[in-house]
Amino acid sequence: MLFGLPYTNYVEYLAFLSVAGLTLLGGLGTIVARRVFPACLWLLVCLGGVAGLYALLAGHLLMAVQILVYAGAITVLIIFAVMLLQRHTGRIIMAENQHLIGGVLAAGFMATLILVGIFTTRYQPLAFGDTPATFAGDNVKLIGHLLLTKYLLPFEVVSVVLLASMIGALVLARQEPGENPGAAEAPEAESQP
Amino acid sequence: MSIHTIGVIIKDWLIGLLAGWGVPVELSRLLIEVLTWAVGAALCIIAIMLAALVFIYLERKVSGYIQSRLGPTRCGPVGILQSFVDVIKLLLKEDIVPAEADRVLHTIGPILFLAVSALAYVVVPWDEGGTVAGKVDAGVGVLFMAAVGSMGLIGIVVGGWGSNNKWSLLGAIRGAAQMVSYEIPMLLALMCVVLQAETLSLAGIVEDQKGSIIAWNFLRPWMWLPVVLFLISGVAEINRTPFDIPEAESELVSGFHTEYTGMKFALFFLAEYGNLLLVALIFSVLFLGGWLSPFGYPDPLRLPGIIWLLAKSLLIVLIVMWVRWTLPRLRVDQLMGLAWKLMIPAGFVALGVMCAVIMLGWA
Amino acid sequence: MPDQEGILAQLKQRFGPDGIVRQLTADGILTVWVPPEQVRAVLSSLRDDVSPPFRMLYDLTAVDERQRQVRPDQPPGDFTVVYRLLSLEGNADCRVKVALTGETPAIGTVTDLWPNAAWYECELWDMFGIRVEGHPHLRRLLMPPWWEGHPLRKEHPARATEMAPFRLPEERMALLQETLEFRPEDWGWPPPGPDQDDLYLNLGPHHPGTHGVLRVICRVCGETIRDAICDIGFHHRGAEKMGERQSWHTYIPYTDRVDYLGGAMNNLPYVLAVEHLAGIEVPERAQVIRILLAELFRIISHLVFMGTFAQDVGMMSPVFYMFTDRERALDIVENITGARMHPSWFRIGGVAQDLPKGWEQLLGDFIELLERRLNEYEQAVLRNRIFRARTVGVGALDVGTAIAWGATGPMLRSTGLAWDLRRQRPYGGYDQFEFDIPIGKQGDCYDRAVVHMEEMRQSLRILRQCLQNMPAGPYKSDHPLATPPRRAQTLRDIETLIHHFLSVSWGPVIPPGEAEGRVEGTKGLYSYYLVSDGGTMSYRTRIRAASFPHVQMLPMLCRGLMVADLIAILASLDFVLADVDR
Repeated sequence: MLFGLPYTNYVEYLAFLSVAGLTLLGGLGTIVARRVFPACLWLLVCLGGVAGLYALLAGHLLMAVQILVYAGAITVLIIFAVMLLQRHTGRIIMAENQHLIGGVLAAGFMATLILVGIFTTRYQPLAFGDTPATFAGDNVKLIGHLLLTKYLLPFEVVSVVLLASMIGALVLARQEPGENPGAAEAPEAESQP
Repeated sequence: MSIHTIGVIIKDWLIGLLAGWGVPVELSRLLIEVLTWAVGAALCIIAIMLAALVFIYLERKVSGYIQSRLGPTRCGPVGILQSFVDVIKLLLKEDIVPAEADRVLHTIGPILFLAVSALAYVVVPWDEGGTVAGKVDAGVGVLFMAAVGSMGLIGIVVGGWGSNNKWSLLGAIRGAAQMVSYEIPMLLALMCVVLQAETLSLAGIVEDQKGSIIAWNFLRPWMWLPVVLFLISGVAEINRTPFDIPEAESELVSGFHTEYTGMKFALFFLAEYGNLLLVALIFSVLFLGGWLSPFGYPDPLRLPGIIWLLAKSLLIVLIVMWVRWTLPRLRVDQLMGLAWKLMIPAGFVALGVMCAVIMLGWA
Repeated sequence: MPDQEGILAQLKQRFGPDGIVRQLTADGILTVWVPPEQVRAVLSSLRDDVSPPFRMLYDLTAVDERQRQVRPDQPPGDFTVVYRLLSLEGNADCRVKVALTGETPAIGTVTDLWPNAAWYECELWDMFGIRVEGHPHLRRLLMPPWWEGHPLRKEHPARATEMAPFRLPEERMALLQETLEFRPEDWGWPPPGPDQDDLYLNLGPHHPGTHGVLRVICRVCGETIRDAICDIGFHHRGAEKMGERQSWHTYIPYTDRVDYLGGAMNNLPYVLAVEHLAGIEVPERAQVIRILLAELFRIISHLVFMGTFAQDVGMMSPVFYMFTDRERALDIVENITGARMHPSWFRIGGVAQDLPKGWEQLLGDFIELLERRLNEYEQAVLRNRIFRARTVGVGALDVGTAIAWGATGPMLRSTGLAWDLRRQRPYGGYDQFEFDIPIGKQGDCYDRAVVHMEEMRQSLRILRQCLQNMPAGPYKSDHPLATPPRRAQTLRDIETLIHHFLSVSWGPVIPPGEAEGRVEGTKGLYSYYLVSDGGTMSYRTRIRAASFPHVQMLPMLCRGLMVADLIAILASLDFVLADVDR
């Protein structure tokens, strides 16, 4: 006991503060970084921090999924796209904030949503230190069950949105057969010693 | 005596010691908890280092045997000290950073690669109750392992990018494409095992195979496809021939680590062998009963489970080495084709079969 | 032999009897002089209209005639450009010569007739300072871009002692480095910039996949090669220039090192050419010993090819097996000659010494061993599915293209044309041997590997015949120009002793004339075109190396494929950089 609180509380505070700080730092870095590649890496830090927050909340499944999907897959895809575009051609893509007003509006909207969420949720009092017993157990089954029953429709809708965006990306990225630079061009055989 | 009991004994002894010095029990428990994490983390790194030391020597001897050579013979009897000499050599080498490289990224690339590799060791069930981080595994060991594994290529990408070399960059792009693709069949194969064991915990998967060799997953017919898929995608995940295109010596000079020397190169090297051991360990856990003895549970020979686990892993490692020194390298498009056109559909088939098996109640 | 008179008559009929002047050469190849303004028309008609048509530009070179003393019935001129044409279907040869006058003469390009003329014409400019008009990209090919002078001109020094002391101050080094910088604009490639999606990838000169110092600059989009440029000359040692300052005899060791995997095989075309000039008949035993060593070296070279090919597609082990076998073959070479890679064993008029005692045993064991091992290699490498996936259909070449680009040897045979010089024009005793000509189907990387593998088997067959039918007799000719004369003879009569003294201290004096010696070498057709001015040294030594046109085809072969395919193609071309650059 120190100042009337168990020691574990301090450890948890410490852990929370560092992880939350890391998340914020990552978010800030993502916005501030001028070059796109470091911005991606900062985003990775930010997403990793979020995974840490899940871990602190004993949401181990969420943590793992967060790392797997966001840090592992999505960030890598972003980096991949940046790499293909950028160093490959010697260009350095700089982050340019051209849509200032739109950006502020979007950010403000999101912030409002989150704040509303924070202040309207009715929290159940939960003492520090006694979380694990109720949550650390196998909540995988529970989540899986809920996803396939109660939240099936939202789950599927989200899937459809993802599918749509994937097809959209394909359509955008696909080159018409004629303009494919990879295909064998008419060989300029004679003129190229 | 399992690792777990040894750990408990040491813990109790330490608490007693601290209590004797007048430290409150609650605080000493906390301190020891923190200490355990630190020791666990150190153990992960040590495991990788040991794996690299042993495997470098083993690889050179195995390749020597396959290629009708002797392999290292000069350092120590039958060259057994070769790895140590290599380590000293690498430590003494100059650390060269190319002039135009991004110094920060160039440095953190190998560190990230190794760190991620070490992180995955956290959930490996070495023995009954002998995971480094018991609590994390409790729910989601498999998922954590997959998640962390998918991060591995960040190190490759950062290193390849930071080198500011076109070959490194090509290697990094190849690596990224390859690892993202082969994760999918790997996860599908994992899912089959998860469905079989009805748990996401690696320890739980081992528990599920309790019994003699007959109870192990690899002898269940519906597991044969996942076994093959996992082995192939595992080899692909750790970038070894025939999937070594991110390095592809004869094409990309040395791929993503072309511009690395000395200790930074050694970090990549360490992590690669660490990953090799990791894949072998996970394979043993998933399909070969992990720390279980082939003669039944409890082990009639009373050997520590870790010995069985390592023996099985060694077998896998040898197979992977054998493949490496035998097969040529696939081309990048063939590699992607294999993943997307063959392995992923096969993975879904395996998953379907597994579901059918469960529905029919054969599992 | 083809009807030379017929071809000559066709030419004379088309271009009038005055334009076409025949020159007799020691090698008996149809040689005609053509006035500069008619050369294009003559060449084009030789390619298309004459029967048989000469579809292949076999070689293109020049001779600096300004110091030549003995040139009877030849038109006057300062430089002679020599076009060497080959008709595969007619099995005929033709040499077209053009006399040029002036310090920096000019001649029209023939790159539109034969694509492989591009490099040869660059060489003309580089080595002789002959401007080629209409050439798409005339540049220094073998010499570095900053080189002053044209090395094969007679006024260019041949020895370092004739030149000023070499100095390389910092600023000059920076300048020279700058000239090596790749400028895409020179090649019509867009400069790197924001609107440019392609990546310029510099492969080599130091790259594990190039087997030496070859530089390939690729323009890639993703991993797909849109275009490529070969930069050669890093291995240039002036082998042809050295021929002009070495005696006929002491030049032999240089030939070993042209295709350094071919060893003694390279001596053969050179000594054949000298023997043509000197009119030496080689005794039978010497011929068979030569064939024995040549075929042994063919196996040695092909084993390296197979091993490195496998390694380049990622198979790390076969190269060790094949090098082990190569060591065994080299052991035999060592037992016969005392040297391994470069025995320099052939002599003008024969070989250096007779075979050692017990060579039959060594060779017999080796043949038996390798026959078994080749079957294993076939299973391990050629039948490997990944290997096939990497090579089948990659870098495919059809017969017409191969001929138009001057491809010879396994490269040509892999396209399905069974054309082997050993069969078509048996030289040096090959008419006495039985062997098949392995061919491929579609001329891709895989077929090249298959042809190489099969050629090793055929070489073993020839070796077996050498083993069984080694004739008795002298190992060197009795001809006075055979160098050095046989030891036993020199001790017996004063005449041979004098010859020995002269040819060793001074070098043999080869009668004036021109001759070409050709062989079916390890990698294709090799020939030495020698011009003698009646001295102890050659007036001009031209080395036609097989790798040169093969490497020139690389950009054409790899367009539209991937970087990994480029490496597979490079490996399948079976080139040696020393051979390309000479």
